[in-house]
Amino acid sequence: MLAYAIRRLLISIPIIIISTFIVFLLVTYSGDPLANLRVKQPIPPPQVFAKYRHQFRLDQPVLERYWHWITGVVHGDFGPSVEGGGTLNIGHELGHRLIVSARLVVAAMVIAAILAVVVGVVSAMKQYSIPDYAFTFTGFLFLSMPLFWFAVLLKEGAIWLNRNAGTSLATIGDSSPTVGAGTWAHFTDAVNHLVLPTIALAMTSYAAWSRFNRASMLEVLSSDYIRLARAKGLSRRRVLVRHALRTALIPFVTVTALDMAAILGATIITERVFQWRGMGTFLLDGITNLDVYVVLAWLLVAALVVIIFNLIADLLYGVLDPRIRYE
Amino acid sequence: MLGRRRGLQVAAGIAVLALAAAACGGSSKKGNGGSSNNNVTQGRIKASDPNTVNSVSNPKKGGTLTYALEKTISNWNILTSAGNTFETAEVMDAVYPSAFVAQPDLSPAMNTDLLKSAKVTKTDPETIVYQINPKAVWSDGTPINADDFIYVWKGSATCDKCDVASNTGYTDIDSITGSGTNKQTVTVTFKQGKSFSDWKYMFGPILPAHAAQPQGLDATNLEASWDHGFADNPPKISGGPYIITNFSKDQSVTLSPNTKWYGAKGPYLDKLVFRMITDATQEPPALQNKEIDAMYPQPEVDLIKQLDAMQGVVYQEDLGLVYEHFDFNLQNPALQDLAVRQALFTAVNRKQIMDATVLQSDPDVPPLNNRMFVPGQDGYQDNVTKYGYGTGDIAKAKKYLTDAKYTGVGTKLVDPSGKAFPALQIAYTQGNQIRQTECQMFADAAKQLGITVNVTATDSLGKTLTNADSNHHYDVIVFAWVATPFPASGNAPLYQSATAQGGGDNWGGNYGHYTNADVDKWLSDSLSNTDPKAVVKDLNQADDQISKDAYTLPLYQKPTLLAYVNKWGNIRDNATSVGPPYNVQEWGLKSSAS
Repeated sequence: MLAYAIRRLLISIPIIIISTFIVFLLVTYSGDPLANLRVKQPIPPPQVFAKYRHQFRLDQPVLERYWHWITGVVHGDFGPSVEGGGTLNIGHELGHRLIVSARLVVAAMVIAAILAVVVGVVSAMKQYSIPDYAFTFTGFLFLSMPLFWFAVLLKEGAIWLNRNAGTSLATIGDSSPTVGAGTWAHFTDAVNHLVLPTIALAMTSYAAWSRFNRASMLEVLSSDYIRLARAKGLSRRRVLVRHALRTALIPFVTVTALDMAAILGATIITERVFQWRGMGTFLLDGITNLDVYVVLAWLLVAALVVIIFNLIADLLYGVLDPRIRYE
Repeated sequence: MLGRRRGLQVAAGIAVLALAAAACGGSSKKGNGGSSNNNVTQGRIKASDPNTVNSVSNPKKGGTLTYALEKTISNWNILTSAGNTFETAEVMDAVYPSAFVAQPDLSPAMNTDLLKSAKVTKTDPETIVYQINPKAVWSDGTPINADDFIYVWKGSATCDKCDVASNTGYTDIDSITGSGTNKQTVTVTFKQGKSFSDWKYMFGPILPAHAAQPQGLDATNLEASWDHGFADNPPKISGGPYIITNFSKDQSVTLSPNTKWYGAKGPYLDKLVFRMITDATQEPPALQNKEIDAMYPQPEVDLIKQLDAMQGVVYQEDLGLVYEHFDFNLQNPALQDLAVRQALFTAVNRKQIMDATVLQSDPDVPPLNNRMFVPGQDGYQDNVTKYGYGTGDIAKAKKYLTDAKYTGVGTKLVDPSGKAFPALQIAYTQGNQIRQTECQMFADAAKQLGITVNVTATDSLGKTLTNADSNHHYDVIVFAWVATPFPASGNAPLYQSATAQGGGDNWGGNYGHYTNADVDKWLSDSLSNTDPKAVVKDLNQADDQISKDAYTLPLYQKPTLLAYVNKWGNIRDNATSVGPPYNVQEWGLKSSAS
């Protein structure tokens, strides 16, 4: 299995190089990173433009710029950012932003997965019952709602609750600037800020996953080996958990892992609405400022995350289905 | 089964619509609609005197005021071009003192906390003496003195490796010396034959020279301290009423009172928090949820409606210093004919354009008729109307063309030499709906003269303005300039020829390559004239000539909007580059606030 994992990771290296090169060209040719500087008032002296052209490597041929970047990345140098006139260290920023986004994504994925499994199983077991219709309705409701809109609705709801029920749900940022001292105060503050964006992000994934899990469970439950297990007198719980759910989870794990890319995309909107400064806003700011090395850094991390999650999904097949073995 | 499924779809649709209505509707309670007194508790406040609106003589001590910033801060030296953002300046108002501070009525006023006096003591060479308040110290106890002025001068004028926001005025200084106790008498002497009418613009702010790391005023050390020491991290030293005590990157800056504050008033707040909300649409919910106390977004119709419905929130709408304008690119030979430019500017209907754009959110905005000054500034006069520009008078516009021997006027224009008049390209910033409308209406007006104007969006305003490549160029463009309390230094780079701006190909902000020897001279005179009345005369002569030459057409000032929870006193709009925190030391709780 280890050899398989290493082989998969090695195969992904040329994919990453090609994708970063394409994105590098796209961002480089889509605009001028000094555009904001050109329309500043007062207009900076000409020396400033010369300084930044050199600092941001704009005086180098495009291919040379890419070569500098890719060789720099190997040594941990992600290139110069235009933000703040070069005050931003992309490597440090990546670390910080990854932690912020991971908090959001992990919480949302765990909640969405648990909900999806529970709802999928209940819906499949009680097909065409009132709970099944209710879950189907909410599933389609969340599927049909654009994320940015759902997030705004959540905010409005939280504000209403705060005003009428005396709660104090946070709607902005990942922490409060005036939080009291102590680890507990910081922990509760972090959780408070996590509630709304997590719900927003979790519900969109939950909706799709619960439908998928329901269909998968229904298929498994109607298969011959389940009938056989029941005929042999196994308990309902054992049939469901040990035989049906375990099999139904195999395609679900694939979908979850493949959805990682979609969740990363969804964090861009979630972070924007709730003003979190994670990987999503990092990409958005990078594109807005035509900050090519920021965009590349995001792409590098996003590609790695997707590759790793796909690998995890493949490896989990082996755990969930003993028939699958890797060589 | 099908019926059941359809029923579910309908129910889902109804639920979605109901949620949408809940999100968009808000409260139906109407605001006060506007009042000129300070007793308004909700809705719009109209300022009879912009400098005193919401005044409170004795604010209560205590409280935390949270003010929304629309950008994050990534460079802390606002004297660099990278750090010179409005939002960073708003925070720095509380930390680094300036010699002069632009007031809400757009006049520069001496910072009486920092200085006891600031006078021009000699005109040739121009010599200015700043007498620093003897009590003025940085938060580490070091006296504020001439070294701090020298550091700003050296960084701005002599460091060719440094990122400098502007070196205007500083390059003409010959020497700065300190004398008296703690070197707190600062004498600034200009080079022989040089003077600077906008001298009050300089030293805003000053930086603590003793904190510069590394020390030294040679180019290498200056670059290290100017571009990094003061830029990379939030300052640990303050010379203002507050000092930064916490910075949560891209989230908030928290300031506490500076215990060494030497000013006459304040600070009154326990904490002042600048919270970064980079999506303006997220500011009203944050205000409603009491996560912020004040915000300074661009006014829009929906925003005003939301604010009118917010209990305990008041807002002040004013005319800002940012103004929209049409500019011609005179590098296009077809636009070098004055008659064409006059005809196009006459055919454009400013009233219709404003009705369709800015007046939707603020019905009180008048057209702007001057490029150098805005209403309220000494020197503002109408230099546009008399030329008939912006009236939409198609008959008069056509006459300009027929008098100049153009044919095909109103159908397909042909120039006097018999060549078809080329199609023009008008550009606006991609995604800016208002500017797109402005451009479309310009094109519609031009069509009535027989001129085809193609409307295009640009993804890079800077690149398009400088005609950087074949994908980025313009014949006509609409964008905004920021007027300034220091009109001579602000406007000269926008209208002087490259020759007047030092030669070579340096056109500064004169992107359309406008050239007029008289304008060059008047603007040069305005920079060096030490008599303020003469400066106003120079600038208005230049402005009038630019109108006569039909180079640009000012449209209107963009409105500004400051909204805040009504318990806070002394917070008021300031449309200049310093923003509402210009008087942050005075901000505090009203006595009636609980």
